[in-house]
Amino acid sequence: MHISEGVLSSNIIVTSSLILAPLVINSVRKLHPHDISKVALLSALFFVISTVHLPIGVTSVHFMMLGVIGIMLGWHSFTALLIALLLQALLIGFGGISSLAVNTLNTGVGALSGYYLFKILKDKLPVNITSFIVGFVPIILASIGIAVALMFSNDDFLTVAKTALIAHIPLAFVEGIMMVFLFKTLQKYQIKGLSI
Amino acid sequence: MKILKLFLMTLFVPMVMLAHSLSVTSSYEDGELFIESFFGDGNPCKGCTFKIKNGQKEVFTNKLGDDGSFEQSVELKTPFDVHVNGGMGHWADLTIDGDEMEDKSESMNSLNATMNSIDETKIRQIIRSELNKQNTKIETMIAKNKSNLEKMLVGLGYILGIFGLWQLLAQRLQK
Repeated sequence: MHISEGVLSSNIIVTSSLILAPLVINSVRKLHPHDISKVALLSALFFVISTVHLPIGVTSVHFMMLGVIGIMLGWHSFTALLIALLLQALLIGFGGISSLAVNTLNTGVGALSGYYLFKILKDKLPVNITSFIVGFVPIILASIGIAVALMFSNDDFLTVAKTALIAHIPLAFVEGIMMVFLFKTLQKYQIKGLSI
Repeated sequence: MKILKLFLMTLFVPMVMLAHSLSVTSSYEDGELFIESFFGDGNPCKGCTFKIKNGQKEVFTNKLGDDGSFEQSVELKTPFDVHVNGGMGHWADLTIDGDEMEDKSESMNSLNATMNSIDETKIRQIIRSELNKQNTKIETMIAKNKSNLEKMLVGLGYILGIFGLWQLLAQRLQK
């Protein structure tokens, strides 16, 4: 899911940075001190979970748990993901500094879709279907984001973009199923502050 | 029982986490370039593209074979950087140092010379030298995996530190 350093064109880097900056500034300004620990927890979750890979054919994709990050943080997902992705780029070499804004936007938009899908669907559909959709859709949206960013950067990346999109479909199914079990567990224990 | 299950699960997490960290080993001796790249779980980096760079200038590019290795005579100027792209954000870098290569080529020349007056002691030395090369690959893989786990723990420490400081400042500002 991470786009590596030096892959994206300067237009994409600048545009994505300009879009991301107000989203992060707004999130930081509006973040209540009581919610900081929740953002830290989910930032740490993303940092660790995205190093767990799912082998698919010759390639592999990694878990992201964007659905759960989205429903717990909403618009603050951008802050949590930015810090996790920054540290991954600096310490582990996943992604890169130049592609940080694009990677944060892709994953952030996915997480945000999970947040709104959960809000809209939670009273309309059975919990199992809602949780599956909340796990499935963010991954698909994030992979579409990565494919679009690659295509707009260079025409040669068209094949890579298609591969990235197809490779994430099995992952989306796996995360959808994981979300069903996660929702059941969270509902069972009714953990205070998680508002599920 | 639940605690035991949780403990057993956590034992397996680092193994899965590092399963796809990418490692690269390379050597350049007598104009022969050798590159081998593999994931943390031992799987070769099949068909991965690699680049050879002299500073910022890309001087050579090709693909690794199905066994994750590449061996070919290439004219290169040391020192150079080997950059292997495993796809989906996985990459590994290695710098081939000029001085080290000169030392190695000198040792290879001396080995060639000794082949003329071959005896048991010399054969042992040659075998030991070849085994050391293999050991270096394994040691590199172990070192890389170890350092990745350390980096992950450092990353978690940074996250807790950054948000901890943020919490502290926010609470002080509220007061």
